[in-house]
Amino acid sequence: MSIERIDVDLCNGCGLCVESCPMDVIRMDEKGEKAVIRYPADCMLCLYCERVCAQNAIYVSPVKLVPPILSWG
Amino acid sequence: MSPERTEVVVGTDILVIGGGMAGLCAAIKAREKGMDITLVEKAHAGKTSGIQAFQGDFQVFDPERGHKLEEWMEQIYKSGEYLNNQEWSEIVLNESQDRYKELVSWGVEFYPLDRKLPFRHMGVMEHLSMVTGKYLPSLRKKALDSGVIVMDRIMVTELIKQDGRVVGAIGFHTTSGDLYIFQSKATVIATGGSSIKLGQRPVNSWTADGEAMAYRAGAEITGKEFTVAGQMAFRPDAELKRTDFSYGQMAYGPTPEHTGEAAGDIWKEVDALVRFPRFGYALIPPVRPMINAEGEPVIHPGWEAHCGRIPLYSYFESLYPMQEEYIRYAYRKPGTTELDEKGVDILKGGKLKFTLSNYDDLVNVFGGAGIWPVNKACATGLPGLYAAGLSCATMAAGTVYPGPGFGLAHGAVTGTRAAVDAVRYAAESEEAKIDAAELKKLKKTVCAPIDRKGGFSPGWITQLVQNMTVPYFILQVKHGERLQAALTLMEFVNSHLVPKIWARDAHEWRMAMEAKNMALDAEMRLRASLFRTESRGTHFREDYPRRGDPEWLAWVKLKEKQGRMKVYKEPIPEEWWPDLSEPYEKRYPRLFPGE
Repeated sequence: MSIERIDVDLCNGCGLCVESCPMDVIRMDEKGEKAVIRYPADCMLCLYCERVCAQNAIYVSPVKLVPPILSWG
Repeated sequence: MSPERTEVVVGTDILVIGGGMAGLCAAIKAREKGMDITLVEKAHAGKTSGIQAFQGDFQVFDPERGHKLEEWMEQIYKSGEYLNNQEWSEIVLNESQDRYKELVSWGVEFYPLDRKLPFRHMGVMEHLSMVTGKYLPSLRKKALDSGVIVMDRIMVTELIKQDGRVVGAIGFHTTSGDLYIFQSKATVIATGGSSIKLGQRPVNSWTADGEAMAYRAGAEITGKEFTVAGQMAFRPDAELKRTDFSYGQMAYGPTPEHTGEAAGDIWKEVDALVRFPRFGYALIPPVRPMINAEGEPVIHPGWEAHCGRIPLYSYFESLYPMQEEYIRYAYRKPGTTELDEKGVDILKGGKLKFTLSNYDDLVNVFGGAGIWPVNKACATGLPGLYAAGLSCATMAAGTVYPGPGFGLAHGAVTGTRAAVDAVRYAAESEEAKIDAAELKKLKKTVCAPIDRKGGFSPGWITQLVQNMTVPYFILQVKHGERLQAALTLMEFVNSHLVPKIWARDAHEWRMAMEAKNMALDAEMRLRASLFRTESRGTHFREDYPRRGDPEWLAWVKLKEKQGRMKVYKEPIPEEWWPDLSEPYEKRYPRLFPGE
């Protein structure tokens, strides 16, 4: 259940994905040039980042895992 | 406390906490009256609200379109199983049109009235739809243009009280880690709903923050035993119909517009991807019916699980164009999962069997849970503190969610009402001087997770809360013994583990506070569920499978007293009771398992 990758070559550093993330998963890198996935464990698969990215640089994995103890089996 | 932490003090007339529908409406409205308004949001106001995960539907009651108040009211309180505050239900309906017109004047774009929209009706109720993905940004722009100060990425965690009055709040920046102290004459909590961070719907940012801080400050909380998509009772002897399928708001069934041709064109315009995030409700009930492992229709998923007839499936033989478009998008990149193949299969005219691994994501009822308002101005009983939107338990909705668009209309109506009275209160109030000793104590509480050198991770606490509340036999098929067992463990989590949460950076600091709030929220849900010894709406007690009229024509309230969570009842006024001389089956056409 998480964002999988931000393509460094495609990312133009606009920061829209950082702004759009409700869970603060994405941050700009130290130089402020590229978006990086900092806290993937908190991703909730909302896809807002993928949608706002004009560069199509972001991919959120379609696999949503409900941990076994919470699922029916 | 680390000496190098920067402290920022912000003075404002009115502080609004939360940047979704209710918060932005409250801020804009209060700003119109010339007040200084500061709106803080833990993510990004106008972009990241939990409500973005939903359709952007907005209920507009309009007599000129033939809407009849009695009919709408009857539908609301019947589906709510008589736990509505009927005055509030009526207020939401009656003021929805004014709020709609106001939103339009503020630049919010709606799909035109004459367009045929799918899901336009729920029983007699009708709603409009805002252009998804655009309405909150429009409101943010309006707020900024009117001079509201918007501060993003600030997690507010505690209210500041002085002589019994709320005079501000304290929080921190989730990137810089700077501490923020807000001094306000009035404060509006609009922090949204509560979830368990399952990601079933992308509302993980709803962690009951507002309810939790208000509770800690002494406010009353209600409605915690019900969930928005919980299982409804069923009618075991009746022939199964499409309209019986499990979702609360489906109690009155979809109209022809829900299905078939009418659901066509518009979806190409609607941004289906915001409306239905991946594996969101485009693909799961309530949009589609369910079948159990034996191929039989399901009307109570929790009960099916209890009987071992799992897994449950959603079964697709055909797709609406919107769903097809959605699936095409979701699978547009090559992947390796089994679901990819299924997705491709259905686009080729095949069938899709979608396995459900859980059902209820335990989101509280919109307009039916949160901070108890003591009057129709959304005041909380703590002078200077107001609640709006999903944080405000007006009980306009009852035990289930009445239907699409009610939540956002409720948000705009309560946001506006809270703003009007907050402006009056702020205008009459002196600026409060915050007591230094009190502030020092609060700072210590807020900074505890980040100042600690070790402890339990927020992720682990979150997982514990999920494990103790999500399995179907705790909060879906409830039983006194199991609730008590879970409550005992949750009390331990709250008393022993939560005080030792450790945040390694400012991001984790937010997660730590969210985990703390979720743990408190979980204890409230368990305690309220244990206290209500009957079944009603989305609250199903295996050991009390019948509605308990008139004893339980009452709201369950929670309040902190001397460090303990007290639970008690507030009876519903008799004039709102159902007709008790009518047979039970007439009052409650749906039965629970075991009745």
